[in-house]
Amino acid sequence: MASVLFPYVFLAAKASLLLRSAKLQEVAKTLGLSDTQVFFRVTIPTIFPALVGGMMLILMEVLNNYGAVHYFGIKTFSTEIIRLWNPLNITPVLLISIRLIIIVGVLLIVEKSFRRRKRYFGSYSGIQLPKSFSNKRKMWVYLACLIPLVLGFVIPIGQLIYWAFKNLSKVISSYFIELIGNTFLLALFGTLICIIISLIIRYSLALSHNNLNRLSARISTFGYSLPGAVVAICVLVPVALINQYFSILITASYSLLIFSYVIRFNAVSYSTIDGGFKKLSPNLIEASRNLGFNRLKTLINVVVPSLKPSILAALILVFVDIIKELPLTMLFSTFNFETLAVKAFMMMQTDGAVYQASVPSLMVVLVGLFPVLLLNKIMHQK
Amino acid sequence: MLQLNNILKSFGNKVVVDTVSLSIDKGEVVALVGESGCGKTTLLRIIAGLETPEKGEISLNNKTLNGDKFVQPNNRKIGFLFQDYALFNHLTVKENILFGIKSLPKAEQKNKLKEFLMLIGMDAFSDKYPYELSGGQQQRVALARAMATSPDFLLLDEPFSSIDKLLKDEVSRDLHRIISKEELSTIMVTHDIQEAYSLASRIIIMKDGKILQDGKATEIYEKPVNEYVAGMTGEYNLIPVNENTQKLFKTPIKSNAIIVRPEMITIDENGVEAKVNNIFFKGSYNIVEVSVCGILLKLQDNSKKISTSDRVKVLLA
Repeated sequence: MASVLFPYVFLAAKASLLLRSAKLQEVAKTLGLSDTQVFFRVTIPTIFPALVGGMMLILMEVLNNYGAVHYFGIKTFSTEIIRLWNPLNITPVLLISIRLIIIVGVLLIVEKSFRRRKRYFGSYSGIQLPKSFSNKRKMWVYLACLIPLVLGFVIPIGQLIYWAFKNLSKVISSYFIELIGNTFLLALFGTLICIIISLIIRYSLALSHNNLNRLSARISTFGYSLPGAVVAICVLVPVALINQYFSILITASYSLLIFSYVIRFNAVSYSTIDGGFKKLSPNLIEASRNLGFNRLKTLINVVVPSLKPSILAALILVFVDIIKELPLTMLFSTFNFETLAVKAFMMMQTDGAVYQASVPSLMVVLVGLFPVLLLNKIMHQK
Repeated sequence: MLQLNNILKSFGNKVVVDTVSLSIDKGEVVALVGESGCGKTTLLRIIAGLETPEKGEISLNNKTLNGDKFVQPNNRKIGFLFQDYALFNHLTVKENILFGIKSLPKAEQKNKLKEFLMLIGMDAFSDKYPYELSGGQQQRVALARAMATSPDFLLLDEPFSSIDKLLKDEVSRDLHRIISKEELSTIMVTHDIQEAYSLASRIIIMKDGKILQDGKATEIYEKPVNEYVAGMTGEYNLIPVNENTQKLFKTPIKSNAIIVRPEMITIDENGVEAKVNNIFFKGSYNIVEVSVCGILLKLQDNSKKISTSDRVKVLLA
């Protein structure tokens, strides 16, 4: 698990290193510190908030994780929610969910207080050229860097591909192909809705930085801090209640599942698009207004084309997130919904099918890889 | 004609534009000059409709812009040249210029494009992207983009701030040529009085959201209303008027103090004897600091022959 979740800390540390400490490290050196001293007295303290932020993300990811922990028989909040879920008796699940929300709230506050400290560091431009090592040391550094890649990606994918080829014929059926299509469409709709909502909310914020717009940005991104199982419960409980007390039969439809995906993953597209907005000059929007374009025309003709890279990135991130989302979709599967991720998990449950589960698992990877490659190609053509 | 009446704008508790009134005639080129934070850019944005004033009235050609119905920036016919030019990086030079005139017939668009590319001298660059251009070129494209919409009024926000010092004169000459050819009413905002002199005939000095002085460039330079305006517009001496200093003047002065520019003080045989303290080299002239009548005076020495600890006779012209 550590090997898979490693990127969260790595990316946070890297971004923070690139932004901040290049000049600071140089200053420290001119003040007479050795390389080791610079590392402990300057580098680590400056990226500390980013490291803690990354650690909090990992904690949340573990809270949310379902497939792996369940397989190894470890009890977590997510596994308990799914085990106890019963549309006719919602109390035990609600109790666990509330406890989980409180824990997430505490984590969020811790993360936020560290993020507040980040501001003291200001921004320093300039990227330090990497220091070169001697050949022998270089080799050890490369090897150390390979560990997370091999443990987290190469070995599991290799295993998957091997198993998948052995079991391909046993699993492939017309139902399976339908499953791929289903998963793809679900993810596509969810992603598009996320992006449209994020764009509209962030654009409103750029037009007018008032409290209402700020609040809607907050609310629309809150779902990401909740584990998927809790989001599903929040959507399903009202449905179950309505069914119980009014005996009107509202079945959990695909639209409800997509709705849950949007709650859970809107923050992903929002933060990506928000990053793009921060790099845009606010004058661009004003220049367009000034040249006779109203708000909507400005959004379509200026904002969307200028943000193309961020929008494509958001597309990939949300799409992949939805494809591999498990606990949320699991809860919906009580209504006979299946995606590739759910299928893979179900097969792992069944004795003897563990190896066959490699086929849907690999499909998750492939379907997720497909848009990445496609968009990569589109972007390179330009 | 643009008319502002008692415009008031504050951010939080801070009043940024404090009941400003002014009117600008057709074809006038006006510079709003002040230090950063004096409210000059906010005033410009209010005129463009990018900010809404709390109080006061703006009208353009006798049409109220912020009456019962607030006229949106896209309906004001006021061109704006942004400090960072705000060119659309996803569009070429050509497409940037055409951006605001897409609703015109195709033939007219083509004519306008040709006209403005010629005017800014960039017809060879029409298919380039903004990031492939120099700062000065980007500015000219942004100017052409703003002017292609045939605005009634042009607003320039710090037009020289991202131009190399060496190129400033050239860019300023271009800008002057383009604006005066179109006889466009223009307001520019700057903190640098030299930039204001190079482009504008009328200058408005602002401080803390208020207008301190409004007049022709020469008038502001020669008769600044107070020490702040004098300091904003060039080198100056503040001479207290008393028994000692009275003999510096040919005619008796009634006020307590007077502001005198260095070049107004001349070396004259009939003057008062003064001792040279310091010489400041300014290139084509020197500023000479002398002590006379118990005060320090700065005077301009075009001959550059005066040296430290010389004795000279000075007189106020």
